[in-house]
Amino acid sequence: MAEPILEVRNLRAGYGRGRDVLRDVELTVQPGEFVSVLGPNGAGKSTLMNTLAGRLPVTSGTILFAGEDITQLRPGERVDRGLQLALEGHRVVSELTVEDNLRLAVFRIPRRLGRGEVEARLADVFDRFPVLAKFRAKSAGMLSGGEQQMLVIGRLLMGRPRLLLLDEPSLGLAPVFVQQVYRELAAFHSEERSILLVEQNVQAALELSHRTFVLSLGVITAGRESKEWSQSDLVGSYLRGSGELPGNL
Amino acid sequence: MRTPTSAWWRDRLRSPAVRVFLGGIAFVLVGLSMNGDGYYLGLYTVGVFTYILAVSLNLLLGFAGLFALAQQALFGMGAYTIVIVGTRVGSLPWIVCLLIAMAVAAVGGLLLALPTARLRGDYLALATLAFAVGFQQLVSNWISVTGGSSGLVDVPTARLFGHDIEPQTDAFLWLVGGAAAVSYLWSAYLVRSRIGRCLHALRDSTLATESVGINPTVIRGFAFAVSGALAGLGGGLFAAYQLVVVPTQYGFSLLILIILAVLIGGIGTDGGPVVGAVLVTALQRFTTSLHPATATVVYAAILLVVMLSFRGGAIGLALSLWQRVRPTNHAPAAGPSWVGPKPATADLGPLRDGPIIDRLAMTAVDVVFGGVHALTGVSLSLRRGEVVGLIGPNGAGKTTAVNAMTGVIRPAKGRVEVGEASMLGRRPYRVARMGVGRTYQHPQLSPGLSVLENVMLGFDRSARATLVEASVHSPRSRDDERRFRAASAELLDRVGAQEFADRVAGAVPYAVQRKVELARVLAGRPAFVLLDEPAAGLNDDERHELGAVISSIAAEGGPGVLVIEHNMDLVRQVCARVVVLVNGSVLLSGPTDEVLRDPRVVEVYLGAHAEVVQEQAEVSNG
Amino acid sequence: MSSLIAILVDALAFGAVYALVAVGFSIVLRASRVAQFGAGYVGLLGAVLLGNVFSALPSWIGLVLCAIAGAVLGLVFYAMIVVGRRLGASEVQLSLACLAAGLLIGAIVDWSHNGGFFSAGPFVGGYFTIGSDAVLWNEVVTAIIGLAVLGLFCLVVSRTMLGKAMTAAAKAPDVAAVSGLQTSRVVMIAWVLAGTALLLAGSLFGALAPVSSNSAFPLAIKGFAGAVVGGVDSPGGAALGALLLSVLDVLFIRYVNASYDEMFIFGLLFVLLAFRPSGLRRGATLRLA
Repeated sequence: MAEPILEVRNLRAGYGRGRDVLRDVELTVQPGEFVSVLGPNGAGKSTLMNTLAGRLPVTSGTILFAGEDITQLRPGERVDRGLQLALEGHRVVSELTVEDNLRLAVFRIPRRLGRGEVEARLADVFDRFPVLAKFRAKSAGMLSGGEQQMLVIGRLLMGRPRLLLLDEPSLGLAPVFVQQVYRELAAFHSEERSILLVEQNVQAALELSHRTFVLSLGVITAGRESKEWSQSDLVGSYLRGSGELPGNL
Repeated sequence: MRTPTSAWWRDRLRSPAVRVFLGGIAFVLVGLSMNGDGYYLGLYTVGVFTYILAVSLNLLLGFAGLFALAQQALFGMGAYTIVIVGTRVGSLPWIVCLLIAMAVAAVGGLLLALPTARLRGDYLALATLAFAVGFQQLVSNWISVTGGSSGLVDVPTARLFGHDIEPQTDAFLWLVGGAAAVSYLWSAYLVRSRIGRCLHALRDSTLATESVGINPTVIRGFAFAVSGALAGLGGGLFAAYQLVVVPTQYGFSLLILIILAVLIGGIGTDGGPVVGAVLVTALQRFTTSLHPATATVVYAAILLVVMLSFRGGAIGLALSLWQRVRPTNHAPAAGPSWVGPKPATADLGPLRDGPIIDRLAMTAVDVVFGGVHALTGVSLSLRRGEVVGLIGPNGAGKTTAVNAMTGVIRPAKGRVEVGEASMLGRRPYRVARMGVGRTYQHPQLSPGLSVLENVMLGFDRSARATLVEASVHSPRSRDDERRFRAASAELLDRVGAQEFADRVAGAVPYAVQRKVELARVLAGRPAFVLLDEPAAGLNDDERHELGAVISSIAAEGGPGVLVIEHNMDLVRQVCARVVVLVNGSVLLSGPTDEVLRDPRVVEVYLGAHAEVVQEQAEVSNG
Repeated sequence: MSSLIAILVDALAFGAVYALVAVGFSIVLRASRVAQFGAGYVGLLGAVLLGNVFSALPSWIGLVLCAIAGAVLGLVFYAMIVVGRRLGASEVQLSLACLAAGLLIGAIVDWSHNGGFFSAGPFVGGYFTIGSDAVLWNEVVTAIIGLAVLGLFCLVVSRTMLGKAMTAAAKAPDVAAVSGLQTSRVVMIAWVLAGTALLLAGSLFGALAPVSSNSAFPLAIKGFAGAVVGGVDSPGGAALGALLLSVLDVLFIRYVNASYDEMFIFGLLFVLLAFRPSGLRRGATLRLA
């Protein structure tokens, strides 16, 4: 069996000084897999994503990416290896145009990609998201929430990551955009890209992902095939935590 | 009636009157020990001037956290004014000229205050620097009045009670010492009064303090005016000391010295300016033999090092460390250590004139941020005595709606009304005074003040004593403090946080902070209270207790309460009606049970797992 | 009509100087949220370098060397900021540290030159007359050089990917960083660019009129005022604001009172800061909270 693209062992992390939010988190993502993590608010979903991306330090535990220990690496180094996060809230650089946002995603000092490569990737993103092509010269702050989320994913794709980390991509989006975003995401895993997603939108997450974990009060339950999760399981997992119901924040 | 406390002497020692008395004795002793040596007397006198300036800057920089960099200009205003007035207006007594100098400098301070209420630190620094440089150009060029770069040499001698007081004499030293005592007292009483409390809170969070009804411009303006008056006092005396007034005396080199005195000595403390003045005077003593440019090199280098290494949080840190020492086991040392009989809350009098307001409503409101609609056509209303819930997914615009209702954000379209009066375009503190109180997603208490002091902030606008009275510890202001303290204690009792009254607000548990914030809002006796996610971070029991408190607040002619929440248990517990906001528009509103069962709402939150919500609802209802 | 040309040349020559200060100030304020209060003294050094140290060299070589010196000084300031941040200094403290560093530079210059005036020019001599006005060729040349340099800076900031990276690092640093952009390198480059702009501004100013350490700060404030007028958050806007302010300044000097123009400008700055809508924008106050 191929080695997992992501392996998290005994992860403890949080905001320092003994305020650990994540406690002994274990999970794996196989290459080409679409994994979702559900959980009530305060469970630590964003903390998990931020820790995996390198934005938060780890108290103890290991993070392995394609077999390599990346626990101490900074975010930029993880991006270079193919692990990239999309922040929650469909955030983009509002002051720049769509095209600039995309180009900036691969801009480095000193340059890393050749001009031709950048143009090729840009064309590819515009291919996938005609909306972005249409608005390429428009200021990113003028786009709707759904369009901005597509830009976020477009920026992510420019980096050609092997594992995409997505933090609540459907947050604050109108249902029609949620559909669109998820359709695009579903198309990825067929290209051997892996996705790890945290969501509050229970239905979409279960329908699209291969496996689902539940994170509640910093502890993760075993991952199961998404279609195997039953309602009572979910409620049980959630309620074991803070007594809040799925979808509440 | 005096309540004896175990460390009564510590309390006594904190009193400005006692301190100035002890300080005065020390001052006289040191002065006498100089044995008439002209050189040391001169140094000592300059040291006292430095002290006065340090006290005046400490008021702004240390206590109010305002980076005002024009103290040297205010000092100069005092110096120039006393000479101009003294020479041009024939027969005015010298003391009157001095008072006029103080008044002019106070006005200068007020002018500085204009941009400050809402400015970021470096903008304020920029504005004050511009003021200072502008002042330099003014006095250097207005030859007819200020003598230009040559300055004024015909300086009237100081004259009190019919005696001339020449510089370089003992008498002059006592005069300056007296001025130092006045500076200390006024500044110390101001800082310990409600003004000091407001300044501290404004520094921690201008917006949150405004939402309690405190007008930042007025409070800060007053602090600036007093700071100016003290600088002017120093300036007027300095002119009589130097016997010449030239622009170069009031430039950057003086500013550096004053800042050093304040920072090195210890900002935000009574003793800081003393230590600072001593150190800076010593520094000056050792650099007099150097070329002026070399001296400036030394000062600038020291300032650079101090600026870089002075801990960013030190301003708050120094004060909060001090506060931690203060409210240890008994009454906060901000006021007298004895408390009169508890007056009933009704003693505070009505907070608003006019008819009782019974409705808070926003109608067809649009809020636009840079081309994107955060709210579209949102209407919602709240009546007194009812508890309404505002729910919706994250990013739906709930907090934006509350911000629009409290004057924090101005809607692009629509109306917001309290009773009949429109609230559009009004500043947050005005909206608060109209009877709308709010809390925030994260408690916005002032961490360095005690819990009780935080609640006392809520009563600030019902003070009977004026700002000036408060700054001099007048009987009426002491009375205000007594009433506030008693009423605050009562409110803390009501929300169940009374045992934490004397603890530093930054150190109490999260759930208690939420209660204290609520008490502070209630202090203003609002007609409407808007709570932003009050249950976030609370466990089941705490949340249930909070719900009981909310319900009791609204009961029996109490205020109308709007609760933004995600926790449906709490919503079901307290809200009679619920409004659902999705993507900036109202999806629907109606009685709680109906709305929470409506399939559209369920879909928005939960997708296909609607049955789960209904099951839970049935379980908790059944 | 003739005075119009004279006024324009005056305004553009000095305006280019103020605009360079404004651009430098704005770039750094955006990138680090620190106000470079030492800007005037960096400029003073520029005048000293061009006028004294490089005086034997042809002007254009002198200017190039000044640009390099400015870049180096910008790097030094950046290092100071990094040290300060590590020590936990707040942004206002760092801004004041810049002022202190500037005062230090000014005091050193004073000490080594006995507090005198420096002239870094003129680039060319002579004048031409239009109507009743005499226009110095030096001002025309300085205006051209200044505007060219200014144009170059504005181009870099708004058209190059580097400039866009600077915008991103300033306005949405976490978004920029999460895709791998090295935000600290970008900030460092911002300081280097600002150093160059500020030093050159002073060199050009010294070519227009003699400069002393006392005139350093007032020069800078005109630049800051221009930035506030045009919007500190946008270097392009700041430059335009400074040019506009220069026009107002020249008009004031000509038609109202030559000695009080600084008071006029600073008074304007003060009023702007007191009532400026973008400074009082509701959204902005949320950040104060």
